[in-house]
Amino acid sequence: MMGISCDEVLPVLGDRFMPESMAGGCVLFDCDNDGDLDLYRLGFARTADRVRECDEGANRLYRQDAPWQFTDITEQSNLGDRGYAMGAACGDIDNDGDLDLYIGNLGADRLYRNDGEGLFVDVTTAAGIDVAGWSSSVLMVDVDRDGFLDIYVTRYLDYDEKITGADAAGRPEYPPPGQFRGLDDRLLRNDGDGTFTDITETSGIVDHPGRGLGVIAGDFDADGNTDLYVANDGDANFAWLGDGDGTFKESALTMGLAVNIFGQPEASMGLACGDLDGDGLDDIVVTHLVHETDTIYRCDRPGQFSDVTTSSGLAVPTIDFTGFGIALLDADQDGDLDLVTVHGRVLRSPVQASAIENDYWSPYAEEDHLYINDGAGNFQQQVGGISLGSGGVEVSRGLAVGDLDHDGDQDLVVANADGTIRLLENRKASGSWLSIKAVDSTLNRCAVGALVQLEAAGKKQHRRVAAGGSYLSSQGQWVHFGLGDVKSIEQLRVIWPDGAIESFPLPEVNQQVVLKMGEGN
Amino acid sequence: MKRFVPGHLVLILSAVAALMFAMRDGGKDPSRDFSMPTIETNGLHPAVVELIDQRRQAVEESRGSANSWGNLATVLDLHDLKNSAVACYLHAIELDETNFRWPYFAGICASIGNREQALDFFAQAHQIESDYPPLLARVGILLLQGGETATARASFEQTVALDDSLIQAHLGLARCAMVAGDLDLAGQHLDRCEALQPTGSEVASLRAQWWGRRGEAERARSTLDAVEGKAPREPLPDRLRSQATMSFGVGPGWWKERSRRLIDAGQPEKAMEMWEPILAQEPENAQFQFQMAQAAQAMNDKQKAITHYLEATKLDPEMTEAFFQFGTFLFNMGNEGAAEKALRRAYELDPDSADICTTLGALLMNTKQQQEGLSLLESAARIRSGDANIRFNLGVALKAMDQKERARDELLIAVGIDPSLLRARFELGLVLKDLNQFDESAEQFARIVEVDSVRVSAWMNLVRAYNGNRRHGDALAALRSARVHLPRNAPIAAELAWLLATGPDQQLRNGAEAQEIAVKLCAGSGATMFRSFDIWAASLAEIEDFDGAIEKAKHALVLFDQNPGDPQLRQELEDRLQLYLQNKPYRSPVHPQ
Repeated sequence: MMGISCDEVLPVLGDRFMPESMAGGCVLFDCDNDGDLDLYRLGFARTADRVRECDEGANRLYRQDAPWQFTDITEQSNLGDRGYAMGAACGDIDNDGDLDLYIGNLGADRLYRNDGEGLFVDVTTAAGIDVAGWSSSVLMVDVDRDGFLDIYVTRYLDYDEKITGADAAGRPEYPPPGQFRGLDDRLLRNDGDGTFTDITETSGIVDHPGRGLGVIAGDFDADGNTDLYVANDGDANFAWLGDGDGTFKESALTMGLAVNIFGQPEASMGLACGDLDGDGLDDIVVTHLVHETDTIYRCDRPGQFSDVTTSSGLAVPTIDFTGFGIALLDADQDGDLDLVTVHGRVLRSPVQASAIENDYWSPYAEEDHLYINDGAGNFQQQVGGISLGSGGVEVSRGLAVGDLDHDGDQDLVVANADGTIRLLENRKASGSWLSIKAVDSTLNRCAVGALVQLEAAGKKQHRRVAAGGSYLSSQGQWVHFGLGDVKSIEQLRVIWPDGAIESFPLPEVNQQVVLKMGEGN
Repeated sequence: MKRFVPGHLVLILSAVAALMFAMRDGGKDPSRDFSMPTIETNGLHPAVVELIDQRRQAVEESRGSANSWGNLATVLDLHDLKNSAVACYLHAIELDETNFRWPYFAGICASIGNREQALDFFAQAHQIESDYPPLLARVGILLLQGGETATARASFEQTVALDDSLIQAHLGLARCAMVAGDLDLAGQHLDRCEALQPTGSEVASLRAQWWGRRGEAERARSTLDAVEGKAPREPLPDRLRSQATMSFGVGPGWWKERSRRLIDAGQPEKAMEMWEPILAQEPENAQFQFQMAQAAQAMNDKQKAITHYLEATKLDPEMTEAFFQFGTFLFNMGNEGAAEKALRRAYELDPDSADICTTLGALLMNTKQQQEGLSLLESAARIRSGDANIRFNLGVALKAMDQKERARDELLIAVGIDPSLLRARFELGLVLKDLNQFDESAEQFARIVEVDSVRVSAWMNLVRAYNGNRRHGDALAALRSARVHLPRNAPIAAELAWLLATGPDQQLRNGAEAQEIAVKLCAGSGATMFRSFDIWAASLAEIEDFDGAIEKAKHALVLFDQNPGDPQLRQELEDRLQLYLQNKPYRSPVHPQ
């Protein structure tokens, strides 16, 4: 971690301003098209007189010049947005070959267009975007198959600063979210001409206030259309089944995705989606509050899920922790998806012995977890699997994944509630690997939603490109396959967002490969 | 790791444990130095600090006393100082391994954040007392959360065998059945839960999932929607825990404060849970009855609230606060007769209370006793002249009595005191409009929509105020802004289309745009609203498609006649049709609507 002010702690005023306990997001993306991952830290702070848009809380962009060597280019990039930032997503909204950025704020959201060389222009007004309130996780995905990325903004609650909380001993504490009304999420259709139209109403997602915190895209009923799954804090989660034309129908209860196996809506925060048990169907994992387990919804057949948390071994290790950021990645590169969850309490609790020294945040700090998959969807926690090396456990919120040092394995970026960022290098992965970027040279150029399928040693794996997830965070469009001791692959194909299927020549393992639409068979 | 074991094995374990405890009893060295854990009291309520200090002093005086440690632990536990509490419970358990309360309370304390430790404590408690239903229910819940369904079911079954009225136990059994995929059995347990009249949302939430698993999407959704606003968790009646709350809270003052905080934090069920045992011990205490009524009211349990309000006011006929809150509650429920009786009693007890004068005054205004109502509201304004809400209520009363200038002045005062009081601003806007002060009226409505951009009535009144002063361009601009914030709102769309089609200002009219909106309005209402066709006709006339206008105007009349209303309205429709038949468009009058 060099050249990056990752230890910059954002100030808190001590008045238990609820948004500060929920914030801490980041974006891991190639902002200047130079082939390596850069880091965007979302900022959130208030001045002593409680002004939210301030220099202390400005976002920061760090360009990676060499592995683990970062330079702060906030000023020259024009990305020092001073909004009270919560979540963000990157994607190529104008199909010009670079990644643009949408920032969900507590306040007015912002859209920045990338000029391709790392300079970003605020196009919020020109794009007709008018989203205010409390936005949380953001997702860019093409919901109507027109080749332009649309934007889904999850929104949390109608916060009123005057409502405060207290614990049983009378100490000020963050108020419970149940005291506030949930907000409708927003869906912004990309009109393809630089402008967006708010289709929240016409898409059907209106009138579903749900204290949304996380969102992920997939094809949960295998009908070829983009579906969305939304994590709600204390309310039943939403499964929006898409019709492919930008309209959706909420179906979570009948799909088994609304509430856990005990019929309880949980305090859902972060989301991850992937094939945990190798059956070719994408399962969903959700992080939750302490006294609730993280939950695994296994896809039994398209459109039907079961809560298999306990049989997967995830109940007991997660029940005592409050999970936020989450990622499915092949951490050990053995050919299946492992799980990382990052934690931090929302209510003051006994300080852990290993907590980082911070008078304010220590009572909220918890360790982060790595769980290794046995290939059949059973998870074993690796105690000490995530070592921050920063002097103690922290209050973690956001999590993004990517190969930061080009060594083939997946590294982690953790965003904390105090505004600090931790970069974690993967040093244990040993198997073969393949990283793939799918590119459409015309529309939806970063191929968001495309499914990359790979077969090696008779085993099939797939990854969906940049479909969102985690908590308040996002990452670029590379997908990563761990291959164990496999030395060659047998099949490689892409199902593009428009449904076209294309097979590609088989590359050597242990390299990064770009698959361009039309260059396969 | 110790584990909870249900059934007959427990009996054996208990017997062994009892023997061991008996052997150990007396062997404990009371002089051993049990260290005092760090207790961080910074920022705590002073009453809590005082209580902790008292209990800590008791420990200092008798370090070998299990009860002293246990009592200190309970105080710490009840006030969210969990870490220190567990340390003290451990000392209490070590000093007296036969007292059920210490491991039981320690288990509850550890349940959130340390499930394994909680189960260990509960196992110790179970060895001491195996038939306490809340213990078995709590163990079942923890086991089920950890995926130990079989042992969880056994625990819930034991609970039900001992106490069939515990909803949490039946709910646990229903959940176990759901995990096993036995929907029929789950349904039976849910039936039992529902018969026990749950107050939280857990039962309904599981029922919704049950319907979902049966493929009944609509019933699942409506079941879930019906629990909106209910507490998320079902309370678990627990005599021992409640007694501890009563004994180790800091007395009635703190209970009241804690109850208020729980209610404010959206956890009224916990407040009720706290008051139940207190009332069981002191049913004649009017203040406790009153507090329970407040908690029940927050839970929206109206019958229970009424019962406890009645009890409180019967026990203490001088308790002004109870009469006032009861009266306000009844007033909000629409029971004006009973509300008046309670509020009059409150007023009798304290005629100088501005709140009582305001509420009783507002009620009397509602029940056509306007002179007396106005007089009370004027009293309230004298007593507390700087209260925006009181000035607002007086303004509204004056407006209702047609004293518009005075109403305007009062409402101006209210808005001056609290510029964010939108309802006062709204009423002020209406009064100003009635007084033909259109620009001032428009200013008030413009301020409202700046803050609350989805308030349809404010937008509509803003438009009317602009039109009142012939500021049709501003009216049009306001309607376009309103459409941005309320794109699906039919009245806004209708108003915009009407102004575009019939507005007095030729430069602002746009028949094509009006027609486009009118067509959408008709489609949106299933072509059943005469008003949509009336607008459509007017927009067609504006673009000189009089044949089309005549057709739509006739259709509007047909639809109107299917559900006849105001004859004057029908005449207006007829008049417009006649204009179209003469190839003339309709123009809105320039006077205010």
